[in-house]
Amino acid sequence: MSLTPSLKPLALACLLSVVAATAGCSDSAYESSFVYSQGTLSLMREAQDGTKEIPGVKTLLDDHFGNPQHLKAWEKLPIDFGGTITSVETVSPADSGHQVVKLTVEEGQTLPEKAGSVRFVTGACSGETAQVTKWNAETGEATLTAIPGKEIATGDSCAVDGGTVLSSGRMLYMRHCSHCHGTSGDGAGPTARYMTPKPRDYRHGVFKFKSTNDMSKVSRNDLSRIVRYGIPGTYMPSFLLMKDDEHHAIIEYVRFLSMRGEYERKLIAELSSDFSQMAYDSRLKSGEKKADIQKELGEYLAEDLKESATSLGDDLAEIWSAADTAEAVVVPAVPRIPDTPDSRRRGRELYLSKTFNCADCHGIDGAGNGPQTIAFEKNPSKNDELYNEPGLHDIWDNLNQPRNLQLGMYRGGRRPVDLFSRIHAGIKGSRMPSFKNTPHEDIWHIVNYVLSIPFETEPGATGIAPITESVAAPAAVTAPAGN
Amino acid sequence: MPDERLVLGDGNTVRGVFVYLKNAPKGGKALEAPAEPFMFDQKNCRFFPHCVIVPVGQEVKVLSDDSVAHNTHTYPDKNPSVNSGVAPGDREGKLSFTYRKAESVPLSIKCDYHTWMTAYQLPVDHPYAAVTDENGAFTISDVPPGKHSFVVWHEAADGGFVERKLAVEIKSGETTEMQIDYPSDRLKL
Repeated sequence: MSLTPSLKPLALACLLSVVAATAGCSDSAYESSFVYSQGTLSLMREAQDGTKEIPGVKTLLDDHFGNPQHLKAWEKLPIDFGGTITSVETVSPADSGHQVVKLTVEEGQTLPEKAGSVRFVTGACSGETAQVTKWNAETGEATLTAIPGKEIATGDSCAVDGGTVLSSGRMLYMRHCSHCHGTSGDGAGPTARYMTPKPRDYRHGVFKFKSTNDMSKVSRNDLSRIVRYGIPGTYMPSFLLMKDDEHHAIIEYVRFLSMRGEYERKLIAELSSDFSQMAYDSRLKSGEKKADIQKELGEYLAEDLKESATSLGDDLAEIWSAADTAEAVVVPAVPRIPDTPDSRRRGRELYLSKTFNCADCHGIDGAGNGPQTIAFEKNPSKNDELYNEPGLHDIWDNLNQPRNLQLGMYRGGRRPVDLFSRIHAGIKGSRMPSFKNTPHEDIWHIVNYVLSIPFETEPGATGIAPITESVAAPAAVTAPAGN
Repeated sequence: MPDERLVLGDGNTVRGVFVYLKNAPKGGKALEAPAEPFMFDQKNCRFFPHCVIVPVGQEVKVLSDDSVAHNTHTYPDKNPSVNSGVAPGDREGKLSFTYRKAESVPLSIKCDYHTWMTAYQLPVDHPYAAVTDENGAFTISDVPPGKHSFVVWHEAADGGFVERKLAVEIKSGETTEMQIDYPSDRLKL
């Protein structure tokens, strides 16, 4: 990595700033580690581990994300790791174990009021941490404990209290989230096996309940809402009593785990068709030579994967950043259609219509028991093998009951706009498709109908206007829907 | 409903086999994604075409000639997954998406309303790819001279691969003809 003394490429120069995870906290007694996915473990040994010089999947993951005791901040990713990146402007000679430096930040940024430690990310001291004994936020002058045997130099970049958000996010996550979602965010914590529905496995980078459009990732706001209010009808509780900065730290950590998992999946996708253990065996069987396959893998790791490893990071940065922009959010083009008997009736017509055919999964009375729930599906990620049980499955291979709309319990939120989002953007990872290309008025009618289902005396009954209203509104005298 | 996993032509030739170079060859032509969209159709609860190569960057528009609801649910490895409803009789193609990355193997596309509906698409970032026609024939033209290895993939082959690395030597200005055999007892049907 080249060192550039100018301020502009500072962010580039510290792609891998290492953060202290526990800072001597007593929790370090509970050592934990990130597990590699089954996909990684099914690759050829060399593809997993790499060779001395060339990284494999595990090496790339460790280099970019670290382990729970020693997290790494990949600056390229849109995660608030915490801390301020600074550059050393002047250095005075070390004096009795202390050294005075002057630190500057990029234009538009400010130095924090207080500082505990400084971690060097470039230069001779790269990877070393110095404690701050005196701090002047205005002038940037700081007295640091000297780093034995190493020289701080002008132009070095260092992170002031780097990674504080991520490390506190990790502490909170381990305390409140990991027993279900797992240390690695694989949804396989110790309690997960007793739960239905299963805790989310973050590693696909896919979240079901979000306000963004069908092709966008989950936004920070969406995650914040889930952490604060929980998911009704599931084991996910509300953490409303936590402070704002704690919510923030947890969300950044969950995003960190999601991006780690997604990065792993994408690396596997690059390798698995040719270099999984299964592919290797079948290649040997078809007459290829062991040495040739290994040579090919070596070349692939050294060139193609190295290249992909970088571009995959860029892709992650782009798509996760985009989720937090205003353009990503589903915004109805028309205000909610007033919830009238007519609208509910229209909604029921649409619910049963050929365009939406909601009843195919949710049932004609909304009980979540449509004909699809008794059909056997094929598993597209397992070469179209049939699932062992009938019904709808999501990308995590969990059996999903289509929501029983009679219960009035909506996992993604019960505000009309939440239901609008579910229909407009679909539910990512599940079979629920997006209906983004249908008129927004129609979606509102369905929302009005669906919200009325729990109060129906019989299917479609609330869609039929009381006599008084039918008389008042001639337009309502249309054939009752649903027969 | 016909089972489209293995469709044979004259003399047991196989339709819908993907033949492609894994990576763009040195000295090859650059891919030019057509400006007009690729129309992906549905009729009688079947996808048309069943197998197709799609250049990266070309818009895919999804049509329906049916009077029932469909959804188009893609299962790619490297591109984002699409799962969106298609209205009955949509001849305009309101649902549109574009592959941004080449995939290593064809991805499957499903309709969740009609679980038998399956199609395969292979997004490529070079022009050296083809799908066999109803009589198992295909042509890949203007391949740069030299030694190449082609991937041969079919949905009914064991693990998908008919050949992982089909070695072919191309000589300048000549046409190389080749027959690719696959034993029927290895088919997974």
